[in-house]
Amino acid sequence: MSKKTILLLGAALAFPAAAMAQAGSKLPVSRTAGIQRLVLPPAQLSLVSLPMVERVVDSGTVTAGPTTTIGVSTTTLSDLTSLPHSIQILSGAALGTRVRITGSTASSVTVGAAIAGLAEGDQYMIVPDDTLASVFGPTNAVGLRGGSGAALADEIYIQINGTLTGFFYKNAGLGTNGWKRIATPGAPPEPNAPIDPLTGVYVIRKAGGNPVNLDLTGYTVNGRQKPKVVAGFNILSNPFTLPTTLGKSNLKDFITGGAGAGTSDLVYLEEGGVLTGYFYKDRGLGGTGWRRADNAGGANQDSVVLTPGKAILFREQAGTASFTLQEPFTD
Amino acid sequence: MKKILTLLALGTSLCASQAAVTLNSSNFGNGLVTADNSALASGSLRFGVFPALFDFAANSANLPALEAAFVQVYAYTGAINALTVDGFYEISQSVDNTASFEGQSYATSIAGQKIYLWAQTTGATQQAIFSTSTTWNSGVGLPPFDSNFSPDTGAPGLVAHIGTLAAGQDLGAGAPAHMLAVVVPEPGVTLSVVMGGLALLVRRRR
Repeated sequence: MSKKTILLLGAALAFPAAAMAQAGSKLPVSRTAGIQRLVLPPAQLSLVSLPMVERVVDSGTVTAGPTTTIGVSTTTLSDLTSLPHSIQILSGAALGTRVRITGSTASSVTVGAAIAGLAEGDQYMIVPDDTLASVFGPTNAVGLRGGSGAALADEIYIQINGTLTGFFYKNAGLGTNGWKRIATPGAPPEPNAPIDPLTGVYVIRKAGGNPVNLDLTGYTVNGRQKPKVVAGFNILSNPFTLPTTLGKSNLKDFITGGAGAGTSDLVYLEEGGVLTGYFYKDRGLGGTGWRRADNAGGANQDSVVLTPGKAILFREQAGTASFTLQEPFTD
Repeated sequence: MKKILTLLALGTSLCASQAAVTLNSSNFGNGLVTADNSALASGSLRFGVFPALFDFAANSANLPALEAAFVQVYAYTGAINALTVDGFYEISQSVDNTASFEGQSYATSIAGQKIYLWAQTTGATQQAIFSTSTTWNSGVGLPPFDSNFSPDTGAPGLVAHIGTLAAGQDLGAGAPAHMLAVVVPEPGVTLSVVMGGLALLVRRRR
């Protein structure tokens, strides 16, 4: 290979980085539009990731913080709470954090709790949150099985303010039809039930019927993603469209490991409707590395793949509540 | 009637604790009517388990035998009037999966067993007992920790052990209601009850 060829190749490889750096002065986000299709087979549970954002409503720099009220450089923010929105931090110590907006003015947003590490000058973007309607259609265009109650219909579990909450599509029987809470099918429909930022969906399909395709469209988001997690179970979205592995994900740096599954945080991955639990073994007999929760002394599981499109069922049960996914190969 | 056990209201959060499962049940697909085809406006809705091999056919007129076999986990008594329409109910109830019910450990004797719904009129003069393939959730392992039960037509494995499926009027669900049955005690059972009563009377007088 000649020196000229190497130079051209180097320039070609360098160009995207240069272009991104230039764009980064405005917004360090690659607005790559895409579509993700996930097949939801009958008689199976599926952990569905919601990796894309519908659009970026606003972006800029933080002008005041870190409190529950965050000043932003934009002075013309519109309504951000009639439909759920979130603010994601794109630089600084709080990089990757995305939290729901609970109130807003023309130049500030309010969040539930102060964002740790947020500082003036940090970049942000504001995006709409996913809802049942935005993912499955206001009237179940995806074609999940409906029914008069959850016992007959496909079940959907989402996180609302950290609590797993079940829904189904009511299409028969007494009362109005629409997206209903499993616990209260007689209550009004909730098509705009807000799915917590950076979380996914747990779908349980009943037997019979055909597989349905769930097509998600939007813009992919770059950089590390840091969802808020609560003690217990969390359905966390894998926001990336490239596969990575447990070992290469560096996830171990952001969760609590231990000598066994009982003293560690647990990561459950779904494949073919089967959930398998893993933990990071960071001490004790048998070396270190990812292990199956049901076989702490077994083989290393570093090569297990985090499949794009699949959410992660994360059980926060040890140490400080935290979770961060780095963007594969770049972060 | 057996003593209704008080259940701990531990909330419906699936994240917060694994010491509870949530029983969700509704019947918006059919509704319930009494044997004379009137909407069941009030009564009892009892959720629990029967032994797997319990012979309903042989005991359908033997209320004491039904009572003895039934392990009640939760019961509601009052108006059956969801969405202000008689004959319909909606229940979401937290159940302590570390507790025992009528001497039966939830964890070892109830979890994994079929859920039975025993509907009764006030005074228990009419009955219907339904089951489906839905079982009591163990509440351990992986979420969700819900037991979602419905006696509506189309529920997998739906059986009316006492009463009749879809034999009543349409109460507004767009489908015929399930009907309770008048349970007439068998002569032998009646005789036993009468003899028992007489024995008690004689004993008191002595």
